[in-house]
Amino acid sequence: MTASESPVIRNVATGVPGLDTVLGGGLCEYSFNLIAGAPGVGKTTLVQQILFANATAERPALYFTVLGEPTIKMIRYQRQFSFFDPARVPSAVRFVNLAAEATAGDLDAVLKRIIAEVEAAKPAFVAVDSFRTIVAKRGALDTDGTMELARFVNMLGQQLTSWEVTSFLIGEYSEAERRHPVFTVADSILWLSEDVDRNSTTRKLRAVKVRGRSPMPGLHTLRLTDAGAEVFPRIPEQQRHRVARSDKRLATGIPGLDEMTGGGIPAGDAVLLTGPAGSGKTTFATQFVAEGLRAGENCVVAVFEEYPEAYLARAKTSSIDFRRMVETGRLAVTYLRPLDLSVDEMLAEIQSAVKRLGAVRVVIDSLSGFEVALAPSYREDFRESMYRLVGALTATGVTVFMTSEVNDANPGVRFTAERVSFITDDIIAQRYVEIDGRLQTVLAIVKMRGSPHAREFRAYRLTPEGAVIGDPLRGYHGITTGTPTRAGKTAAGDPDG
Amino acid sequence: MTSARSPAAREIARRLLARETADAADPAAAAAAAAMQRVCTRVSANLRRTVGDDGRNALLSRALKATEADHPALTGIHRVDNAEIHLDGVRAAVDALGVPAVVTALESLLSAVADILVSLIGADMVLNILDDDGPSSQTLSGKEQP
Repeated sequence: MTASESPVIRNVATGVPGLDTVLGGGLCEYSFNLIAGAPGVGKTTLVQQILFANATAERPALYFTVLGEPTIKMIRYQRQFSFFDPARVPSAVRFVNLAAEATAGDLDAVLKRIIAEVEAAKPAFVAVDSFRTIVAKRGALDTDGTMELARFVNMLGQQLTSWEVTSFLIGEYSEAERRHPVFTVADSILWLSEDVDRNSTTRKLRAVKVRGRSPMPGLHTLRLTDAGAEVFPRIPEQQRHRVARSDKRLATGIPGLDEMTGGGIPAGDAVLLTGPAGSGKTTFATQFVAEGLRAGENCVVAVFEEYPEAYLARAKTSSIDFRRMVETGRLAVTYLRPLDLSVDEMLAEIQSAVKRLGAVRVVIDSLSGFEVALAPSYREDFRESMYRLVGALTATGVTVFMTSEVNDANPGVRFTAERVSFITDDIIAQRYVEIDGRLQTVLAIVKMRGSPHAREFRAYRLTPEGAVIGDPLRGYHGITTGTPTRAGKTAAGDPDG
Repeated sequence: MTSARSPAAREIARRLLARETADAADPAAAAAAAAMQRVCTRVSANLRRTVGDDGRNALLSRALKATEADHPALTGIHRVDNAEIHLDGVRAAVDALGVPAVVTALESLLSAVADILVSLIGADMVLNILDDDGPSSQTLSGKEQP
């Protein structure tokens, strides 16, 4: 058969945000799909959302319920989701109960009834929820019902394929059963799971296999909201198609800092500003945003340590009215503070705002707050989480400015939190030093990838108008110790003069 | 559930019956009985398909409990065979008690069924489900029993 004679495999978009990206584009038409996982992970919701997104009166869906949750109660709960359209029941989505056949334990009768309903309704989609309970009563005849179930699923798959139906089989399986022979029959397998870590719970989805597609590997966050299921792909699409770097530099809006950085922050860089509490990290970040807005660049700020209202009230002291910028769609302030947040959700929220605004500057203030907001399992993999987050954002061409608190009172020569510095292009380190009995703030450019930059420490002041950087702090030794000693007569660089 | 049905449930029951009886050209008792029997058969089949035999029996059982005392005609309309409720005695009930009594009884029973469903899944879906004429293996093969 030549390429031109190959059958066209049409795509079925799932209607579940993020899922098509994980599947490699969507599901194949007429595919036989297994949705597996423990009770309560969202299997039924996921499948019903797909059906309501695709089924019409002309191309209806049959939803077979078997044993377990009464159909009426299932409908009662599912209709709470906004995707569930009561007006399309039963014209587009028809519920059919197979309890009688399943209770009798006659698999042939179950299969016969399913096929009879398919012949009558000529559906485009079929779901069986849950197919595993069909053989529950057969367990005594066949040890664990494995062969019986495999035979049933194989026959069902053959029948539904011949009727040109895209089908979904929902089954309760544990991770230990992943090698169950029934899984070989399916064209695609979506595995749903729930991670419980201390007080935190996160749902995950994994595309174990998707025939005819190139699915995204790994575990992806699955969240159920009033709108239904949403999947947050672990590797955002943008990361596969990086935007080419330019020579453009972004002014920071902090007098003196652009000079230190060799003309501003290279566009598309990930910048990390570290410093102890009260050193002015948020002030610097706010000035970076204000400068972008002033230059006509839209911005997104993700705050974790204060509510957006508080952030906007404080930022009002800037020469730019941030609240007005939010109202006019130039600035988005996102606030994500649940303690079971996944990095993928955070990324999706920021990316959505970036896309909506066409933003070129993103501020994350702060990484410390972000880490606390993450579910424990993500905190353990914070480096990997940040790698994905920063990689995905900078791939779109935006410049990311992150703040991070250094807890050590006297960090010596360690300027940054080592857990995240490797993912950044540029690092600016703030610290306190004692000079002549006064506590002063100084900063240095620790790293600028591929770009010349100032090497000396400079003192800076936080004024009502923002941070102001002075001249190089010359004439001192041991600044990194926090208690430098004077080497010469004068100490230049104090912005106080 | 009280005997006072919700307006939505009463309207659903009225429309279920009206579909078969309103346009009946023949006012004779036999024709009316046949029309009402079709309603019972359709509702019973749709309940069976959607919620299964057990679900249907549970709904009909509770609805009958709530209405049978006020409407003796229901005793003749339904029968219980092997724990399964069948609504296949409409003709006999009409012969015994007349059309008006059976219409009132059936409207009350259907209203009670609808009332339960309305409270569980919302009024917007109930009429569509109970009055569905969509294809099913039972209706095509003629196997469905009232």
